[in-house]
Amino acid sequence: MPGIDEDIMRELMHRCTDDLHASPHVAAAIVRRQRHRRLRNRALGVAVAGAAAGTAFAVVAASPGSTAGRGTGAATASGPTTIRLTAAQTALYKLSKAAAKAPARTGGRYVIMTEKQDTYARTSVLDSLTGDVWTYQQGGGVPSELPVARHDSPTAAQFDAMPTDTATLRARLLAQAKQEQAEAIAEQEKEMKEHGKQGTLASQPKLTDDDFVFEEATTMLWNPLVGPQLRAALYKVLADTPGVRVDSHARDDLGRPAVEISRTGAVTGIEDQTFENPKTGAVLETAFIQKDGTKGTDLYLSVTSSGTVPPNPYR
Amino acid sequence: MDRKQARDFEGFVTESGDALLRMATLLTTDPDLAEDVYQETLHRLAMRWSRVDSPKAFCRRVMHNIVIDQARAQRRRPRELFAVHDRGDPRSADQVAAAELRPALLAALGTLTHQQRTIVVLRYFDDLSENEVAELLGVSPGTVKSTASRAVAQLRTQPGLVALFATGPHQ
Repeated sequence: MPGIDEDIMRELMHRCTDDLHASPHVAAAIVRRQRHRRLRNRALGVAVAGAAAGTAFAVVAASPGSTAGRGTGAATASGPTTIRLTAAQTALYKLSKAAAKAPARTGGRYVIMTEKQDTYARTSVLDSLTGDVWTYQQGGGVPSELPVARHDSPTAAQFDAMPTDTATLRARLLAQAKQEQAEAIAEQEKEMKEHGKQGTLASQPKLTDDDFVFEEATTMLWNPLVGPQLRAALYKVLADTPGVRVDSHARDDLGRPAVEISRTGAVTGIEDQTFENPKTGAVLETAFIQKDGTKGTDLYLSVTSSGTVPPNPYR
Repeated sequence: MDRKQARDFEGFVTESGDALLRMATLLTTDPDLAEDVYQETLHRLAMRWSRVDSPKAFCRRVMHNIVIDQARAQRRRPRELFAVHDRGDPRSADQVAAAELRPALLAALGTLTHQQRTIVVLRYFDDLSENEVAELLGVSPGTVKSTASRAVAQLRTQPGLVALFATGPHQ
């Protein structure tokens, strides 16, 4: 009897798979990777209340002879304020200088970046004018050509319009991160209410300001549309962010000499790493390591320009 | 993906992850491969999260496509089936653990074509209607009905399942 057979199939398939459970870490790892690749235009358009004041955090200024840290205030007009940079800050300021001196991007409208992401080879084509992104990839049985992701990147002009003063940039990064966070919490609480669930997310552990700033800054650094001045400013912001660790003599997974910048999130426990070319400030590798040891790696291999969208290289 | 999207995405995976992994296991008939398919499906979903109206429907379609793509890629290499042992009556009670019964079911599903298997999984595991399956796969409801019927008829003759179908599930 067909009806009975179908019931048997139904029961059998559920009974045989009920003990299978998805790893709770998979979604977090995927989100982590996506966040390395997504900066929405909306986020860049955030009006920054109070950013103009720019007084929340002082730029660490090098002046030998005394100690100071972030937030202690800028040099005062009343007398010489001397600030001693930590080794990490010194390394990041050096990297900032290298980035500022790197040649600005020239060439065609389209920026082509090749990379290796875990087991995938990947070529991304970014339209510097519109922010559209094409992605081609190879490996793991995935399709070689993904649809164009419309406006998945800020445009080169939007990046160029970002502030490069350290305090203002930090305030901008913090504001856009907090706005996204607030919207996310409000939206999720609304959904919880709609589904008749009790509770609030307000009491959940929140990322610290420094968590936010580090994440926003490093999420921006990998993007090849970021120009030399903004890149240089981002390294200064990182130099101004507590908990940032720097190894000036590191190597990336391909053995290339690199400055390794890392930080472990106070709430998430996830260690984010970014490896930079010490001569240009360009990103060579980004990686994250979750509490359970899960590691995701992106190796950046080349950046070139073209006047046209190149064909899929993996076909 | 911004933070709101990330929260939404993680919420969806928390709610649907187990079911998706189980569906991947049934579609691939290979638990290890299923893990890869599951992760790749979520990866593709995350990339399009802001543009996907129905995440579950998107995952069903993507999962089916991935399995088909992989099957094409591996066409030259014959598929290894699970060894089917004579387990006697697989119902030998509810005490038969899922993990013990699973190889027999997966082996049996492995004898179906991809289309048959997908239809069986969507109809009887995911509980979609014939019309819903037809729309998802781009075939007619009649094709879904006849394919499902033939597939179940084939499954009930498989060594590991024959006793089960002979006596029914509720005895």
